[in-house]
Amino acid sequence: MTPAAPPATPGTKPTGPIDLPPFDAALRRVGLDNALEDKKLATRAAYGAALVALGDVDPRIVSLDGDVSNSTFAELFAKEYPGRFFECKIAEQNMISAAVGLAAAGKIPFVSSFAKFIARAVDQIDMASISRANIKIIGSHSGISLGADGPSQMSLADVAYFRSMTKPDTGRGGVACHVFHPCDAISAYYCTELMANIDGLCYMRTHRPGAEFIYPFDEQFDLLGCKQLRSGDDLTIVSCGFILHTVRKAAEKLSEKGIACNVFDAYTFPIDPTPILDAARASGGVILTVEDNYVGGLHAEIAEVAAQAGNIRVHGMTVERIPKSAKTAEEVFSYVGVGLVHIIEKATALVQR
Amino acid sequence: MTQLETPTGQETLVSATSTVHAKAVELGKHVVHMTTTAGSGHPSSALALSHIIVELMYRRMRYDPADPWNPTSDRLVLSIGHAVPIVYAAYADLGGAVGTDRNNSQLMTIDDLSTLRELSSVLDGHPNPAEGFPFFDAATGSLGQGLSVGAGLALAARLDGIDKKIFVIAGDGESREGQVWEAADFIVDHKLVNVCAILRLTATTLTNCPRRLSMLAAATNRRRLSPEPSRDGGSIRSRTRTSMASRYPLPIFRRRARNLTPPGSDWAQCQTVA
Repeated sequence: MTPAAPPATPGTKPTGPIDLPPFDAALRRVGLDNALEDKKLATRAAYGAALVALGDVDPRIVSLDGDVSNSTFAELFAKEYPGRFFECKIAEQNMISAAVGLAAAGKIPFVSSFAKFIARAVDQIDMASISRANIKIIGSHSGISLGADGPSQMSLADVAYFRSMTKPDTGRGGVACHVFHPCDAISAYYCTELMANIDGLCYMRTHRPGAEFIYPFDEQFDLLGCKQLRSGDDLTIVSCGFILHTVRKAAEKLSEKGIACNVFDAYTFPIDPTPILDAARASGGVILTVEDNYVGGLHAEIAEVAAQAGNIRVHGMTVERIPKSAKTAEEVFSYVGVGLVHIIEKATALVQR
Repeated sequence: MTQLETPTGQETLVSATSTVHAKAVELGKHVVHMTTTAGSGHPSSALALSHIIVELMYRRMRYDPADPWNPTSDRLVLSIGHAVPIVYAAYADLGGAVGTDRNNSQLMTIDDLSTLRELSSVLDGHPNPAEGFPFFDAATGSLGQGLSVGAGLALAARLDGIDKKIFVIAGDGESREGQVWEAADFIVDHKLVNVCAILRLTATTLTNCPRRLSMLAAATNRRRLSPEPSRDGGSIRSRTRTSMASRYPLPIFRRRARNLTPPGSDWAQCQTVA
């Protein structure tokens, strides 16, 4: 007994780097021109624009969404490429495992839902990691910045979970997972491009509220990278994601009080911490991290590398109590202890020690 | 083994069945030996699949064991990953290719089976293609996930215009997992008729749930199939053919074969640890 031969092999599939057009061109492509004038757009919307741009240049790109495509902005892709969009309904576990199957057959699946609901498929994500599946997971409405909907929709442990996979080696020259937590639409756009060019598991957090543009439209983002947004001799503050905007306001207020801070955007894990550690050594040897999730994320990442480097103290501000609804992100930040006033107070205390 | 044609053109299953049975027994011996050597490895679950695996891997699937990377090959997802020794046995018997990629591969031999679960072996305790067993597409073993993986493979095949079948072997025990039902809905939503789900019914599983499996049949097709009592491969073959011809994917129920130990074999003397 021998099995029958398979059908003839189809044509070869495209390989090689995936290059996206500039951010502004991609926004115009999907009718988000207004954002270019407002200089403000939600990171989740930038993800949708990036997904369409990816679909334009590479037929391997497919999108799966868990019945929230109007919120994750995967619907922009669904409208342009309905044949490559798969509505998975409210069944996230099946969605992740189906993406693993698609990836095994050479597709590059981008899987989106609220970050909170992605957590439902943690076991499936583990199996995807073991399979070295080339899938990209996008958790929208991440952290606590979504505000009004309350804690049942907020992801708080996602960063710690995905960060746990940013250290182990795949045996193929990479790490098990790359995590991205962009702070503005431009970085979200280019982080999506980075994910498409990584052969392996990636996770990106996007946010519900609109966010002011921080970067130029053609800013370059790199794996392991970080961005210094402000320089100062007194303290080094490291943040990421939506709460970075609050950190920038705090740094401005601190500057008015005569406290000059370095501010870093640590937009990805794993990260090359060298610029952050160098800046910390030149500014009193103290780092303050600020993030809008539970422990195990940015604070842990920076503290671990600083502990190896030596002579640097790291203080972290994370979500300190179980959140609840509030009308604005800022209100929730204050409620859980990471509001503008808290950051200013903490930074001031660290400088005055 | 050659197909025998009757005057009416219908295949006779009698000789096919005996051939399948003989091969199943042969592979089953390998399973017992390899799991005994390894000191663990779920031999009973593997043995219960022996006829299904022979029917699929030797007769039903269209693929080249020496080139598992061929994108047009039919695929097998073993959702009940702990039963994998029987697949390893069949694959070794067929001389299947192992390795991390085409340029770094070799053909498996029966001798390789004795490396089951060793650190340096590609034969992991559960399906783990990334370690060098490319016959599989995804790691399984955490139960309840295989039908979803099969659905993803089927979607990709449809996108690429490839006429291939995705066979998924699932178990009744794991069908308590909600994801199995998520996958069943997804397969119906997207009309993935290229997925062939084979549900093994065990009489002894800790969480036997035949009533719910009947619900799956009702959910994924318009007819209800009664559990398949036969252990021979011929009935599996006819069922897969029926499934492929239908508008919706039909799950195939397969009752666990009992008393598989053939008279006169040395199986009973093998001490194995499940």
